[in-house]
Amino acid sequence: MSFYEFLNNHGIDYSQEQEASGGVVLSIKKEDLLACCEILKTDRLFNYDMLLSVTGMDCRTHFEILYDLYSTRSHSRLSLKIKTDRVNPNVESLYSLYSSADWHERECFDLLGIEFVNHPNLERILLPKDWIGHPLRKDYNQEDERLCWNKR
Amino acid sequence: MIKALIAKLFSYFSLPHILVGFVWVVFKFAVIAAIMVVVVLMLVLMERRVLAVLTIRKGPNRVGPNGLLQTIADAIKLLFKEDIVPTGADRVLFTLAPVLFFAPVLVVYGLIPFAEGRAGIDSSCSLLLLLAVSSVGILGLVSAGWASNNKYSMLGSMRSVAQGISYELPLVIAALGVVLLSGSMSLNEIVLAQKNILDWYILPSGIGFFIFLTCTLAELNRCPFDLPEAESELVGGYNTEYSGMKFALFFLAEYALLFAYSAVIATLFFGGYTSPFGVYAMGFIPYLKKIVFVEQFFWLMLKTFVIVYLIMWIRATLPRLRADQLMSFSWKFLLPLSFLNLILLALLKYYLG
Amino acid sequence: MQIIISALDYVYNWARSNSVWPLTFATSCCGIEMICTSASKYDIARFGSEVFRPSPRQADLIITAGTITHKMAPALVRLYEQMPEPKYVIAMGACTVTGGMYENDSYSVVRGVDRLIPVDVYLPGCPPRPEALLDAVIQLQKKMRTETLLDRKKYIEAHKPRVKMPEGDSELLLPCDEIEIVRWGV
Ligand code: SF4
Repeated sequence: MSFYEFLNNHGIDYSQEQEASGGVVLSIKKEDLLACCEILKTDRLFNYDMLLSVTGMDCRTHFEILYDLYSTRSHSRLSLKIKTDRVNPNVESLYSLYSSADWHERECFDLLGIEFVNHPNLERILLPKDWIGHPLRKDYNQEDERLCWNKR
Repeated sequence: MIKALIAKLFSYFSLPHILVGFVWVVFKFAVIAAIMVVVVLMLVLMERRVLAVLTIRKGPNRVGPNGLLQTIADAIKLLFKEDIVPTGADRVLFTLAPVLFFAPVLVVYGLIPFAEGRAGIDSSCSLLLLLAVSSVGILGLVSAGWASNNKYSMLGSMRSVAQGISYELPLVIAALGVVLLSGSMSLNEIVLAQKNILDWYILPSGIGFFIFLTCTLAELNRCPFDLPEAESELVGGYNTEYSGMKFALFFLAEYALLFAYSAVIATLFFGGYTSPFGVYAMGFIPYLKKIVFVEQFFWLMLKTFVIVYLIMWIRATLPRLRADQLMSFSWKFLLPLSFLNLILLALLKYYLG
Repeated sequence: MQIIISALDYVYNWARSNSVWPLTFATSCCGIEMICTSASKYDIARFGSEVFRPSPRQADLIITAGTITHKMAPALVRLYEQMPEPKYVIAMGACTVTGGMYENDSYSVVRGVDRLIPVDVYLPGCPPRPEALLDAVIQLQKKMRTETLLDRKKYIEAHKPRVKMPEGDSELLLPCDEIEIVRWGV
């Protein structure tokens, strides 16, 4: 059974993007994410049991989040890509499946302000706790007057 | 000779004569302490140079002739450094801890026979006393960890207790093998029983030597057993909060203990102050016969420094163990091995005399 | 009196300038050069400085090797304050001298550690070569030898951190206007 058939059988909409080196990038719908990861993780054949990274991107009109999965059984990679709105961005957290999602999602929240629903401890990880704004957003302006000494 | 001099001085100043014995002991310990400080200054430099050579570096070579004064510079600097006592710390215990760690070391030095009949305390059970006293030092580490009110110090001292206790047992049992062979607990008699290289106790009790050396490394908190001050895990272990002179005292005691343990190993397994050839070169020369103890001292130093070098070599070679590996190594491997060693030695003694 | 003090000064300066124990503190790429300096090819041990102390209580020198971000700044200032007097700072790398390649529009990097703590030797370069770090250590030793015990008060005045520690929940350091910056030394 090929990979795509497998996804079709489970009723998951996907569209394939360009091949990344050593793996496939699939765009899926935001709502399908948790279900998709669950079947990919538990399936005996594919068994993507490791989450390598969670990366957020600001594409001006929307945010994209890229999940890199890795299978320690077949040594193959798979990237899942989802889109979310700019206003009030939120995704289901993968923490229940992969515990490595914890810090990656916190970083994503910290720098882009994407809210991960059901994350156990969603707070800033790289920046000071009382930082204002999310600096990797394209429209970020440093307005915090406490950072006056960033000016030379 | 010196005792007579002290007695004469006492009668000259018409002081009570009972005090002479007391002053004599104090004098002996003062000499030992002086030896100790000099030895430690040398050892620290030696360690830095040996480590440098083993990692293909130069080592300290800017201070004084060829870097010989490096440790003296360090000592003076530590003396002048600000002495911090953290606000949350227990002031009394915090100050007392280095002393508690240091004092037993001094006693250990007193017990080692440096030459024939020249030990600070010449007791008939000096080995037992030595093993007992040297484990008191752990108390100093515990109180250091507790008094600093710092989680890293506390963890470090907890580790040192666990390590100290579990390695004490194989150490004592390995030493028991030597006692069995020589039939005496006095270090002096143990030395006298191994008068030349063929009598050295390392030959029958090689396993005992291995166990003793390993446990010594653990007792000294040196690599590969330096978990109590593991820099990458626990900042500085029990001495995290110590600065200036107090830290220097810890440093001093540690190196002094290293030397003391090496001397004990030399005494137990390599014939201590006796010459490996069975005779002393100085014994043949009429005028030097009286100061044959100088040669005996030389032999002890030679053997001790070889063992110190061995320990430094081990430090440069082996990585640190994990805490659970450390424990299982002691309880599951060293302890049974030391019992086996004891039984073997008993059989050996019984059948071969 | 003068003679005694200058003799004391000589011994004291000789001792401490020859045993500068750095703190193990490296925050990014410059740290690798610092490690390299203590390895066999360059060997900082020749100057008696190979004793990298893990605990600030025993260190004399902090080499700020690498970028200092706003998140790291409180930790740096705390470490600096925990070091016993006399203490010295080498700002290693362009990042800690001026902000380096993050100077223009980075949101997170402190533009030079001299805004946080007083710096004794500036060492530019991105990263500076190990020889340069050795040179910085030698310059620092030279600087130490010019000091005298009489100036101790002034020294302590000049070696205060230049920021307010954050209060409450805040983690951001603020520049402190009340602290007067004393420039001192050669
Ligand atoms: S100065 Fe350059 S090498 Fe050093 S930390 Fe900054 S970016 Fe890295």
